[in-house]
Amino acid sequence: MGNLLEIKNLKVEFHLDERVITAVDGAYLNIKENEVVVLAGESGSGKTITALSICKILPRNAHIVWGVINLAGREMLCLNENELIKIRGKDIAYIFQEPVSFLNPVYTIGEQIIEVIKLHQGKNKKEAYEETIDLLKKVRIWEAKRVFQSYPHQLSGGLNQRAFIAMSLACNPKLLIADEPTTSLDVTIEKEILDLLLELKNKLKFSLLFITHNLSIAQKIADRIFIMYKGRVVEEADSQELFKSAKHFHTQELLSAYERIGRI
Amino acid sequence: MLSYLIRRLLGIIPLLLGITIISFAIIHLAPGKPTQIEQAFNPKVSQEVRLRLEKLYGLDKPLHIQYINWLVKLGKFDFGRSFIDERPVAEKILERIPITLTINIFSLILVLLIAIPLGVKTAVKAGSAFDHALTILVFLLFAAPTFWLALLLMQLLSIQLGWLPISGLKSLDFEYFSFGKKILDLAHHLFLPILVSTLGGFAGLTRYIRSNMIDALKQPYIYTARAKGLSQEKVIYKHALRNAILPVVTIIGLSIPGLLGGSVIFESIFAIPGIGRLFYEAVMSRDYPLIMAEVVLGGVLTMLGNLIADIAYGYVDPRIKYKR
Repeated sequence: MGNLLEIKNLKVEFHLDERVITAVDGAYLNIKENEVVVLAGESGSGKTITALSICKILPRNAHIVWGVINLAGREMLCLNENELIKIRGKDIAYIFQEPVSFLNPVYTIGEQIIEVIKLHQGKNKKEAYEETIDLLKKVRIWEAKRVFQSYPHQLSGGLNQRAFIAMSLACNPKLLIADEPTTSLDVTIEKEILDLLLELKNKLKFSLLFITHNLSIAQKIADRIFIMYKGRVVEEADSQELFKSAKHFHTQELLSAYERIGRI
Repeated sequence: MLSYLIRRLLGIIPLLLGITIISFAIIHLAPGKPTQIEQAFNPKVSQEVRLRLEKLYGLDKPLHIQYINWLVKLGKFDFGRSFIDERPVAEKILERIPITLTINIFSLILVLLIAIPLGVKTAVKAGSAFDHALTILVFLLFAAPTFWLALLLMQLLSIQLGWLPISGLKSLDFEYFSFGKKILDLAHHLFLPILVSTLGGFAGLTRYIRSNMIDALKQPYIYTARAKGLSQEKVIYKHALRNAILPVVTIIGLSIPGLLGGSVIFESIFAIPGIGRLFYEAVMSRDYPLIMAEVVLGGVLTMLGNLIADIAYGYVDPRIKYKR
């Protein structure tokens, strides 16, 4: 099977007032269809910036210097804004770290999900409403109607993240990019969200790019793992292989940290 | 919600008492009595007449008695009569309200119509040449005193170009105009005051919206909005602006007393018979009932404006709810 997404030699710089900081330098990544790929590394290693580069939704002072980002045969970096907005939310969807702050505080959950359905599927209000309720039930929210009418601050972190997943999957994306989606949640909720993501992945057949600093999550869900360190991808391995014989010293560091925590 | 409202409205009473006691004391402490001023311009008024006048107005009684008498009348919504022309104070104020209100409402609407889009545009293009140029312009307007700006524009538009009347509210032959022409004549006279008041007002709000907007555009939910595939316009106007504009509701609420208050300098320059000038004249002639009525009006409006701002904020921001 061919690669759904392929990133080669990506370099991203931040232009601050006086200085230029290279956040990503020579990152590469590939994801096959229906595959779970974990991008792991310590914070500040450039994982999130790599992920945001895929759809070019970087902060304003970040610039992609060079690289290739190929999504199912299309050169993402050659597309203009008008072509990109048709891909964002439709072919590629994102889930972020803290659902409460990544959801708009002044719109209800329902309004925010309906917005994306209307945008990409051209459905009318009633159809979009029914679809939203269906989606909320699909992510195991039993009180779908109440959640639909709620504002983000009225819901728990776990519920918000489920609603966020519903919103991201609204248009059946080919690739779901989950940027530390469980980091802000407590451990039991974390497991529920991970199980839900894997279950939905098998049901809806999308590829999952999962970003985390937590190798225990990586081991549970990944088909393949890419390790990032200081802006570079330093190691790529099948999930099982990595845990047996890590080559790069940073991978060994991450693993030993994981083992230490595991022993406690 | 209702009990919250009642609590807030009751809270106005002690505050208003405080405000009136202080103002009453201060205005009576100020040198010069209304009777003295009348006497000064008329040498025929003897000391005897002056004392009789003071007795008539109740000015011979101790200050706290005077205050209590005034307060009792206020309780019956009787603001008393003006010392100057013996007309009821309420009537004098009411007839001045429409003109001040018209100018201020028009200029508030214009300020909002200009400041919001301009603030958004400068925020989106923060750091660009457009942003810098506008920042300089806005600070110049912000720093320029209204009376100076008014005089400059009068010089240019009314005297040199002759497009607009210099001051006043109506042409001399206003009474003979048809209804449509009367409206046009008023608009013609009000154009410059509204323009000056708008120029003085929009600068601050533009900066305020700009900084709110820059802040909103950095929020995480903006990444979500972009990741959804929304166009740049939708991201800015639907997701960022809605958040950035919330505090403006408070500003509008707080500007309510100003809408009726009017400005002394401003109305004097343009010879507009509004509330501001009425207040100025009242102070200069120590017309106590009129001064106190305006103080009460300003105090009540300020507190009502605060209340309205709070309630409106609860409506537009779902995160704020008033309990009990």
